[in-house]
Amino acid sequence: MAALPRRIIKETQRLMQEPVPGISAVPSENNARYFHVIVTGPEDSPFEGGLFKLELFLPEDYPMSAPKVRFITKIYHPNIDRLGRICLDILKDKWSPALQIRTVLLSIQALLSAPNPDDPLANDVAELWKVNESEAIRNAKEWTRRYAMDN
Amino acid sequence: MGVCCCKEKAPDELVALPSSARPPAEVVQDPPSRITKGVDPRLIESLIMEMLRVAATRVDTDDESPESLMKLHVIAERDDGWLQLVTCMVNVIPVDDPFGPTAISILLDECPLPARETVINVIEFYGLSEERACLGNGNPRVERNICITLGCIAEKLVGPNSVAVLTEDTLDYLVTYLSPQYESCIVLFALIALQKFSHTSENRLIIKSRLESIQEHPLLILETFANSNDYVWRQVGFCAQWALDNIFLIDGRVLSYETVDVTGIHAMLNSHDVSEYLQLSSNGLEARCDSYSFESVRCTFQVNDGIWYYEGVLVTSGVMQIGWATRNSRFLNDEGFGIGDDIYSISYDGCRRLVWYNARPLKVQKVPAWSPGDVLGCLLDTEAKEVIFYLNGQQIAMSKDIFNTTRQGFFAAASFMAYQQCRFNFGYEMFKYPPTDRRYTCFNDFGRLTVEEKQILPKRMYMAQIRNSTVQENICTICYDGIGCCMIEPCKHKGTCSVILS
Repeated sequence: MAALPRRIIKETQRLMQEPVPGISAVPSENNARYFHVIVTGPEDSPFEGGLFKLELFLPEDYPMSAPKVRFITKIYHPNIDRLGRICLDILKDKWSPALQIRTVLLSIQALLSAPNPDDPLANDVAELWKVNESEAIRNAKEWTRRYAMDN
Repeated sequence: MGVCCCKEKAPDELVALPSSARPPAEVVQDPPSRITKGVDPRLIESLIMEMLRVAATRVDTDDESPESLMKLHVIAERDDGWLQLVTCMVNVIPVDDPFGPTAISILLDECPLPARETVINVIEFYGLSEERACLGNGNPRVERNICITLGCIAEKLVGPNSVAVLTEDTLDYLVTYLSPQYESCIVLFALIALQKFSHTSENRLIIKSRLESIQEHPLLILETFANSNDYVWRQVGFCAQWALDNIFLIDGRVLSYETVDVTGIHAMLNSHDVSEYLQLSSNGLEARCDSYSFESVRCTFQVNDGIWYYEGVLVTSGVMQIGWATRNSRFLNDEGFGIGDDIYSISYDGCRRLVWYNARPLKVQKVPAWSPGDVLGCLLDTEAKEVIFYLNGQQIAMSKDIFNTTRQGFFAAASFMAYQQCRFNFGYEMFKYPPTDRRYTCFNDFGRLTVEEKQILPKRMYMAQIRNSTVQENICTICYDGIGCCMIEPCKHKGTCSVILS
């Protein structure tokens, strides 16, 4: 526990006080840089009704480098691979220290509403999304039901 | 904002594995019929052993993943393949291989996410229960590997899935092992698995009340091994004590930081200069990592000139990089960079027998790999501009590299891979192998620490301090440290401080 940057303290406090609708991000009890995240599947998307668990880690040089985020719940999405890794520009070369944990999570939620099969991470998923979108959406709904709903 | 950017290499579709014409080999137990045997288990087992060999010699983290690892990932893409991989791993990873536990972590971490049912199948497949645990000493390798695997799964699936995996039977199985009557290596990893399950709060409460329902709290018994001379039991004691201080608190038990005697200690591992997941003993002289990341720490004492010596007593024999660093060395734990991985630090890794400087390894010849109980001596001589490493008193390497960048501001420092532990002697005790060819000094004779600085608070208390701290208004909107006094031309954005802008 190297001295925690004030920026992280401030962001954490704000996330607790003014949570983002549809997103919960709670710091781990033993690690102030590790957050348990749950994103609800956006309405009118194939992920609606699902609760998706993610992990978010703030590296040592945050906010100078981006948070590391990955899905822990399996998801059928052209920009998210089988290991849960996410393809999102702001997590890579488009990162800016003016962005925050909340903006990152909002972007991920937006990615669920608007999959981008032209820039895929999961090739087979993207391929189906392009040639047969309705089947891809059916698969995404099926995976959401199987892996992202508690029953 | 946020557009998809898959320019980075997406994993290529891999070539299908050679399908084996041979009939599947027998595994230890007959699996339930729903587990199909897609790939010959012998093939998977040999890939695992190959990966273990490669991991032991692989030094460049930029290298492509070893081929065996890639093949194993392909196998694990199907749910039945994932299950097969787990069962094979549990069967073959040897107890005495220092990479074994780490290899299980690596394999599971880099495999596709398993579905909850798949993980539940693992538990059913092994018939985890108290009864099974009671028979456990029969095959310590398998039982130890099951415990390691459960811990990795708990860590990977933190949240509702981790709760689903910690069934009554799983809990019975793990808790039964928390007793000195079982093989130490199983006890250790059963305890670590319970710690990892407790990352999910719901599980923590379940485990805590379960432990308290036992007549004699098992962790209070195991805690007494913290000073054991048997190096595996010592780890058990360390983990039990850490868990009692940090995770499974007992009403009425005094926390170890309040009882530990630190009067003679004037230099220790710095609890304010350590990466998140490293665990420090309450006297600040022992550190352990159980997380799948490369965790680092610096000592409290800063060296500017002179000849200084300290010793690390190895409790485990896996990958650790122990040596010297400055404030400029960064702890990039999640990327696998630590001490010796930049130009401001140098270290020795006696598992792979490499001196590390600037993330480049230099092989040390004719020296055995280190083993538990060995003593690594680290000497820094600013006059001769030399860093010397000794193993049990024998000089094994000398390097001048770090003096290219640094003249002063050195700290003893170390990095730890998963499941590694080391004890440090900064001069509080007699050195086992003091250097004989030059006069040296030790930190403990010159260090000064206040009572507060010597306190290693449990993380929970430290986190509470953070939550309650306040951040003033009118400060930099990027770092929240400096005053937000600057304006950026030409966009006229305000509110950042001068440090951030520079």
